[in-house]
Amino acid sequence: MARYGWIIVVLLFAWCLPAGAQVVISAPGKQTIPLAVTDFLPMDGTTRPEVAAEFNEVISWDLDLSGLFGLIPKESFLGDASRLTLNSAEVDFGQWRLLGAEALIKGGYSVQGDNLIIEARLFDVVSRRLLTGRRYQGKVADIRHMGHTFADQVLKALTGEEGPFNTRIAYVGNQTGHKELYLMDVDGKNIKRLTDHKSIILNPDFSPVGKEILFTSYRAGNPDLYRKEIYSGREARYSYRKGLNIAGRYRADGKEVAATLSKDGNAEIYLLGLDSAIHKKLTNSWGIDVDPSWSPRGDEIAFVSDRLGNPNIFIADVLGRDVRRLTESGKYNATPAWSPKGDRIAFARLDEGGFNIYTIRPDGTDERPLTFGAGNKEHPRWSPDGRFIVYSSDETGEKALYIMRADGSGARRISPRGGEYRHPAWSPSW
Amino acid sequence: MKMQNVGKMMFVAVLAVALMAGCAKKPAPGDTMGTTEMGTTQESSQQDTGFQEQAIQETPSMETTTAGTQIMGLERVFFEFDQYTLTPEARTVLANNAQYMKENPMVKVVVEGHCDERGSDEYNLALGERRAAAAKNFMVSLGVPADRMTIISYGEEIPLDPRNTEDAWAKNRRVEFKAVR
Amino acid sequence: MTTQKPIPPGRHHAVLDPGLGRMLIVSLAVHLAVVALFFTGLIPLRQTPPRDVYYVDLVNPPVKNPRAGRPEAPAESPKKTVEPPKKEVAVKPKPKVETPPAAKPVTKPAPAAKVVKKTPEKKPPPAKPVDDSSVQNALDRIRLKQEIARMSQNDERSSGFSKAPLGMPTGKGTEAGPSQEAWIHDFLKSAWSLSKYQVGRLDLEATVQLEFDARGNLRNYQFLKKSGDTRFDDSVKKAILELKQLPSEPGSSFDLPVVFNLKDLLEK
Repeated sequence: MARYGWIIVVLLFAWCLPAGAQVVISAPGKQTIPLAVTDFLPMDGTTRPEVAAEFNEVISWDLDLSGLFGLIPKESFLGDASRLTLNSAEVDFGQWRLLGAEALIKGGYSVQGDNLIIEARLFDVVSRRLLTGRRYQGKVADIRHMGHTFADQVLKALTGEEGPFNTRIAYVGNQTGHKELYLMDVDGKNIKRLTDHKSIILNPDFSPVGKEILFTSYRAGNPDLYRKEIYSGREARYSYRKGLNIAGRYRADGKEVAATLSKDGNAEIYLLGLDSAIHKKLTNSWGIDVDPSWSPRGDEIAFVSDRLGNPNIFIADVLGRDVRRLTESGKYNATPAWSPKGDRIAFARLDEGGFNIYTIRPDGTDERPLTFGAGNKEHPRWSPDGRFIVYSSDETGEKALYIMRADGSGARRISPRGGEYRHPAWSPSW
Repeated sequence: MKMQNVGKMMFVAVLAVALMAGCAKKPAPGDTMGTTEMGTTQESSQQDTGFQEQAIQETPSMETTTAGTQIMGLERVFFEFDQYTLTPEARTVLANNAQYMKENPMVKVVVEGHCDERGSDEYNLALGERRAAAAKNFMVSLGVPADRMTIISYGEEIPLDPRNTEDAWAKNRRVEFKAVR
Repeated sequence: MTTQKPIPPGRHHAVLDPGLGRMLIVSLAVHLAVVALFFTGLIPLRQTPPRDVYYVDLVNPPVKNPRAGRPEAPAESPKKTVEPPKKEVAVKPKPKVETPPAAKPVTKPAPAAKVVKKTPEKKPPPAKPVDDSSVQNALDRIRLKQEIARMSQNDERSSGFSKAPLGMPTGKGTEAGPSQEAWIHDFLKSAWSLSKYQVGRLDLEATVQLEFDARGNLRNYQFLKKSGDTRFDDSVKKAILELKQLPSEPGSSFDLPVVFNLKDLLEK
């Protein structure tokens, strides 16, 4: 027993059993998975390097954003990278171990006219086995969406939960000279204009079910709410009561909408059916009540109110009348967004330097700033899996869209140059 | 006089069209979406050619709202940050405006509330509405009939001065009076 | 942020305010009071638990009974036994490159006057079949050893610092080298690979009992406590499987519980 005495001194374990030594490892040495993403190779002789390069670019961007991986530079790849070996029996895993890789993506493509086939594989280099394999068949124009879909599968294989990359982000852009509604991929590509209102469009929200979008437009001379089917382009004016009809947000089941109306002269939050009938007047205060955001269970709504002076975030019980204040610090807190898992609420706080994005637990504890520095970072919205947050920022002088991880790391601009990009909303899985 | 009558007629016509468009609404969309598979081909064909859109697009109401003509004789009033209370200067301006309205009994106006770009957009929409309502209510208290003024808020969407300076922000926190055509 | 009210006129001239002196005195008193409070312990200072300090020797194989040594420990000999201090700088370059067993010890155990019951190993463990990466490691290690040997020789000329005994900073025993536990900690930590984005939460913890035989082979391992997150537990298992053998023979079999958690990731 006595000979173990020195170990206790060495290791300083306050809670160690007096009788024995024990080793505590309080963080992994490698906190990213070393990943090699090879360029896909032609499967039928027709070489289209630009196809391989684009697929590689898409998945590398997605997987880098995930924060899970450390990407191994292509320059260090050895012979196996240029061999079309897609079976775990044929892959030279020894080579990849030598480079320190623990995960490996290989694949092949075949282009026939407009048609494209992609085979993509994710291997575990350490255990030398296939983790996930996917075959995609479609048009060459679909290549980016195939890449995003595969990246989603890679995340599923390594975390158990699918990624959010094959989704869309809706936003308001002014590239035509009017504020219209647009759609882009999560990496800012494939931009499509959805509306031609030649007016002002604001604050889109995706229906959690079906490819439908809710937004505010001044097209008929008043801020009204519209619903639009994205594929068919069909559109209907949803709420066009006197005064404001803004900030519509679908409940997680898509069956009810919370919105701000000022039909009685003061901005209050109402719950509306899909037929626009008012189910409930949720708030009733002399102050301004705007910006509702549903809890994922649909039992509570976070919103902004200046009932106690400055704009702050409150949470209302949907069933009862109970309203509690969420944010205690800061003079101006706005645009709450409840995370899809329900554990945190993101919002924007105005301080001396401008707006920055924070998250807080729904019980008001553990408030954390996610963004820092000059410029205004506003309108946080969660990815459907809660891993990422999209937001608008004017830190470069242009109103642009950015994505970061839910812990504030990995922020990057996604919108291209030119014009304004505001009011992002993240679609559910597409 | 004549002009204003024509404007009134057009306004009524616009309202009628808007109402008809509203009534002619299809049942809520959502039931008819058959395809859910990925494909840019489908997306590219959905370039927003909804029939209902065209029906309203012709109406002149848009120009009134986003590019309405300022009426000579009705001045803008300005506000403090995050405030909708009328400053003494604003009251003086509004008194002049009320005088003008009483001298021109056929004039109908839209009272537009605006905010600077700081602050949440949606909160600013509500704030702009309060500014417009404050201006309108003050003029009503001076004897201008309420039915000659309608209010609308544009939040921070139509700044007078798009720059990111204290001066620009001060200019943008305003209420404007636009002619109803 | 809010628009400032114009500064009221007056009070623009900087005349020495009679209140200034008073204010300075008050300020001084307050500052002193704060300092005083600090020492009285009335202010609850946040006590961060001391972090475990590991001294990791990448050159010398681990030993069971490490003695104190540089860099942190004082240069005095841990035992009252007479030891020629010159011998303490025990690192010697290994010129033979084609003998790759990674675990070959380079440090001769110091000739201790009082011999421990179980003498530490003198022979390297039997060479085992190697794959290419371990060859690489071995080559790297040998290069590193030569480098360090050269550096320590230089040191010898310039300063007496390197004459300090070689061992664990907090060691109390007789052998040169890091402690076995510290070596295992270091090995498992560097072999353990897990991204915080792979697990839903950071308050996970697993405890694994490692069982080594007398020759230092990992004979068996078993989870005393699982974290409940399969990805976490899998990553732990993978790290343990990399640890097949200790680089030096412990002389007797022993069990060692190892706790894996993410405490260092909790506070950013």
